Amino acid sequence: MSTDEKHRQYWRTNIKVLSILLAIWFVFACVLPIFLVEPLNEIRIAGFKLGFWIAQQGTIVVFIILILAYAIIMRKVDAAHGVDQSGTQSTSPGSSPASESKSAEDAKS
Amino acid sequence: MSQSIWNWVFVLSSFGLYIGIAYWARVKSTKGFYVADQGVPTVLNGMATGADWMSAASFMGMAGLISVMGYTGSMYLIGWTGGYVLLAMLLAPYLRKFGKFTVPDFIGDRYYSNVARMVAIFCAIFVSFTYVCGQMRGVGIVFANLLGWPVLFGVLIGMGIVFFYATLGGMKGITYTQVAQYCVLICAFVIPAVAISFQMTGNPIPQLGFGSSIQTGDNAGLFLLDALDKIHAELGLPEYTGAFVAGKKSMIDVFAITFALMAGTAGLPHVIIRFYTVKNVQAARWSAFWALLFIGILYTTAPAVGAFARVNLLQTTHNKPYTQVPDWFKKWENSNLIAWVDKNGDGLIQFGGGAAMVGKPIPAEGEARGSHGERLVTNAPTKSANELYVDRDIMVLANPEIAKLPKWVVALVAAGGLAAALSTAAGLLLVISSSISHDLLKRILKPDMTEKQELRAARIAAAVAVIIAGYFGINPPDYVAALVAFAFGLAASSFFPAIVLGIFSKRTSKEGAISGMLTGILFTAGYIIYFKFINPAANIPENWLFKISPEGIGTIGMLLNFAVTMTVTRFTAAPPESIQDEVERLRYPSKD
Repeated sequence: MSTDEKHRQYWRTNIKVLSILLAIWFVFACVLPIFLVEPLNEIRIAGFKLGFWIAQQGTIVVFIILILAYAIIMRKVDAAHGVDQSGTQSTSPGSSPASESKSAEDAKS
Repeated sequence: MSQSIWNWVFVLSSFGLYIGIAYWARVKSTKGFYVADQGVPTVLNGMATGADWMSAASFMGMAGLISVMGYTGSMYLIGWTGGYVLLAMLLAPYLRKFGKFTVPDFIGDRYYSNVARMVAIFCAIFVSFTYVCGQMRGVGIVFANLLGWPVLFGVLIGMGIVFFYATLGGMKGITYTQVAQYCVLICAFVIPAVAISFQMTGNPIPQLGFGSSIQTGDNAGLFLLDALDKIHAELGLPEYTGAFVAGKKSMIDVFAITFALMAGTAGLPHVIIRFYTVKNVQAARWSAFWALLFIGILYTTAPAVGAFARVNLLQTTHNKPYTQVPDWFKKWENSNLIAWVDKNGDGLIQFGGGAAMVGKPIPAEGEARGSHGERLVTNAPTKSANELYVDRDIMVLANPEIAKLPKWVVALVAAGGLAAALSTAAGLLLVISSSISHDLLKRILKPDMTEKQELRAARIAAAVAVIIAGYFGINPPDYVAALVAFAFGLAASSFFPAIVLGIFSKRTSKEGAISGMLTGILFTAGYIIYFKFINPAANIPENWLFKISPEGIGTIGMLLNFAVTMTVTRFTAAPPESIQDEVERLRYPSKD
């Protein structure tokens, strides 16, 4: 596979990953704590109405998890497409021995 | 030891720490000055971003706001954290890959136009200045009310400290002092919260105490939030946990404000530039995670603190005789942040809906006292039954005293408030100084400047910015609070769409981006200026566009920006090949 083709595939994967995560983000940022807060407030967990708890606590926890998920998933995607950076300087896949060996592994799998 | 000795010890030792760090991190190159040599470890950058982000308003104002607004206060919690998800996925990694120094750098280069660069410089400076004035005012509040020192003296010290480490160490100095400031401010916020949660509910974790039952007092046995709803109902106030009940904001307005705050957060230049300081793209993603984790500690504690403070305030003041109020009540009364007018002459404090008086308390001539010993004010009383004025900014500052915590905790809270204000001010000043020295001078007016000259210009610009910000801290204009709506609205309606489209749509042309940014800014600024400055009397939901308040209008401005940019792009020439290649390069972490 050519480098260009690999890059295009990498970018499509990135768009897919972040579309899914941002859909979840929208649900927890706007749908549950704002649009659906009133019906959710009918449900109680300990001293909290569920809608109120999501609005003041739950969303923040979900946001942290979403960013963590993005960082973890993209680390794998970077490596799988041979675009990860090793060291402090950005290097092209061809010039770095580390990413070259990764590309070779990719080709085998 | 007396309170004032504790205050000196905490405030001076924290200042000493910041100065020591700044001296250690001093820099000689523009890369060090603007982006800390791009060598900041991810966890530390996360802490620095946390301190950079959490301002005097987050530390002092937010819990107080939530305690007054109840559910509606969630828009700040969601808006100011949800923006980090956008930042982590749509902006930070690609801007880090871009690898230059500032936000106008990106806008100007991506849209191959100095007009676009100028628009970005103007927005960056305007947004940062409105924000920095608020920080200097925060410094003044801590000094005047908590430490009892004159505001002038306090702001001058604050200016001196920021001046020292911002000009000496630039971004590098700011980064490492922010790491220390994060530690100070988070301890100062969490320690009193844990103590109060334990006192009130028996559960030391504020996030859990928030959902537990009250241990003592009139409402013992009730869940904390149920007790709040009950007291609010008795006083004729809107239900605390209720969402869109009468007397609260509408669903559409809460949504618009939340969204404007999220997009605005993601577009604030002082937050974005923090992601230029790490070593690569992956590090940018990870530091967004650490940043939100560290911010989340304060942001999940704040609503609990707000609820505890509300219960405490209502239980200790409502229907209680003035002669029996605790010392903290009188202390804050003396700094005009609490005031009581005995409208029905029964000597009891009645709390209720509506304002107690017109405007903020103005003490009567010669500190005159009323028949119960209360400090008299000259403000005209309102018709409502409410007799008590409480400034919402004092909730966090007064908490340790209300909960009778030891003196060193009070001093720690003072140091924490200062850390929050100074760390944010420093980040903002760097944006202002780099916009002038780098974007305006180096990139537009004097491209042949040497690095040494540019560095000197950056230091001078930082110094001038500190002095102007200090002036506004000492003489705060009345419209500072109104300007904050501006900062987020403008960031949401200008930078956010321009940067996102610049990365995700190669075809976006300079004509598209410039006309989009100008439409977004003019629309948003026009709406805010009309309702906040030209015709404040008309600032009611009936007159608003789609019932959206000026605070939330940035959401509409942002949508307009996206629409105009995409439409104009369709009818103009595609960007040159070299720019399209540059956008390609941004997208792949390793591509040169």
